[in-house]
Amino acid sequence: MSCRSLNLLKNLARNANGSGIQTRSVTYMPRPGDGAPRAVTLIPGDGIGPLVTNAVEQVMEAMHAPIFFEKYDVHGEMSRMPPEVMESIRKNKVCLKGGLKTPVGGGVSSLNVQLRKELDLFASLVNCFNLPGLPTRHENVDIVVIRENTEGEYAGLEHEVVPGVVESLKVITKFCSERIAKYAFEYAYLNNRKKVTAVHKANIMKLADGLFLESCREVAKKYPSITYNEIIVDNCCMQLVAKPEQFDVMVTPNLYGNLVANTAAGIAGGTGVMPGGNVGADHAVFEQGASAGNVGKDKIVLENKANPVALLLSSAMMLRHLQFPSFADRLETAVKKVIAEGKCRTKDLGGTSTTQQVVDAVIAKLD
Amino acid sequence: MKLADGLFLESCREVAKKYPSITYNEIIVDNCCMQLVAKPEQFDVMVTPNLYGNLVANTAAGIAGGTGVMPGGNVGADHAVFEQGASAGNVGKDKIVLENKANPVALLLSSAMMLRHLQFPSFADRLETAVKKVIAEGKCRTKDLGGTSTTQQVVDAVIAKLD
Repeated sequence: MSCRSLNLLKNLARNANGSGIQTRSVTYMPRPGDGAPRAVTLIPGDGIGPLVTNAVEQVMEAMHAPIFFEKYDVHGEMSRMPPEVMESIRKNKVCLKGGLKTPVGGGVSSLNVQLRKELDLFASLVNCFNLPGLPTRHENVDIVVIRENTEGEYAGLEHEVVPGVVESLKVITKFCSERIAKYAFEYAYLNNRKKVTAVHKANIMKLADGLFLESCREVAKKYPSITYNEIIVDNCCMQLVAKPEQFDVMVTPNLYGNLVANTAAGIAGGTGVMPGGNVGADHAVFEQGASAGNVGKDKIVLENKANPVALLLSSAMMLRHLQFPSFADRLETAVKKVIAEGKCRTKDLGGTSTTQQVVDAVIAKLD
Repeated sequence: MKLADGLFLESCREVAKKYPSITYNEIIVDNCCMQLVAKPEQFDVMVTPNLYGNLVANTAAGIAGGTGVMPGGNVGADHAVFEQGASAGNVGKDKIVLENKANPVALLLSSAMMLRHLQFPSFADRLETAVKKVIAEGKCRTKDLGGTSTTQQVVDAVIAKLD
């Protein structure tokens, strides 16, 4: 073989690999009419919400994705979700939202929690994983936290027995524990995951967390090819920061899930990049995976430095949910290329870019 | 948990007013877990209700070196019980017991806290200094710190470093 053609071949091979990220080679065969645009309810929300949802809108537009957004203005101080928003979500079945600020104390209940309860979005899913190009202290982290979203410590049942003494009820039901366990195992089965770990504190809360564990064990029997184990939540927190590679899918009650998801997100790169969503029997609401700090600091909003990656990756999950896998793959590949390159990053990832610069970079990388 | 944790916060705020030279702030526990793994240097003293404290302590212990080295104790109006700081996993694996590879550092440092509690500061300082020297040297470490020593070897090293 001549020297010149050998070099040409070498160049071709190098370009095909690019930064090591695969391009799609699978063709999906749609049914006629699958390309009809779908309506998605969009709630920008408070704080960084409008910035990051706008990022998604821009990227969807650039891809000519077959979705159109029905946007609604909702803020955390409202006492309830406006009925027209609920109607829109019920009609569309799918919603994308930024964060809604939850007031601390006082009598107003969180709108995020209200939304989940009214639509019975009983499963919250957060995927915490290492992104190529974003090294963290740990490698090979790929954890999916599936968290019961409707009961537990968030039942909202508190009362003051006498002044200075408050009782807060944690409610665990077989019904809710069973369905979250079923969802977790079904998720693992459908996504080729090898292990499901149940997180609990049944040594202290013997009845409540004990009931949760029983439900997990019963469901585990129906999936003999998936490894099942249990871990006490305090040990779990410690293992997460010491050896997170040991975890795969984790199923948890409400509060532990919140904490485990945020810890895992922090470990794997930060809440600015982890995707997630909430799903129930009939509806799905996609949002940033781990909402620690909820709506971000005002300074980030003012400087337009919010990280849109998490919501972009969540919107890719949403596209798959809507059965538009090719658009989902294009979006995800573009985002991962931008992160891997490392030139365009917001402050939380150690860079100086604005939200808009990241969006432009993603759009430029779309194929 | 507006009433329960709200009551906790009210109590903290009232006490904070009496210590104007000490900065007081509040953090929601999910954000706290995330901040602990991202930027733990921002935290100093943390006061928590029961469950969150269990989780935060174990996370912070894992971050800073592992539950094998963090000291701690429990105190009430009349009594004090000193034990290993973060007891995740509680009593360790049987294998560690059989091979005598348990890390004694956490309980040694807790016993130094106990000596100070008993008002024997000089002994406490000697003990702590010896333990810290052994760790700093790095020659004698149990499995959880990446070494191969047994418990007895660590003890002998500490005793050798006592002045």
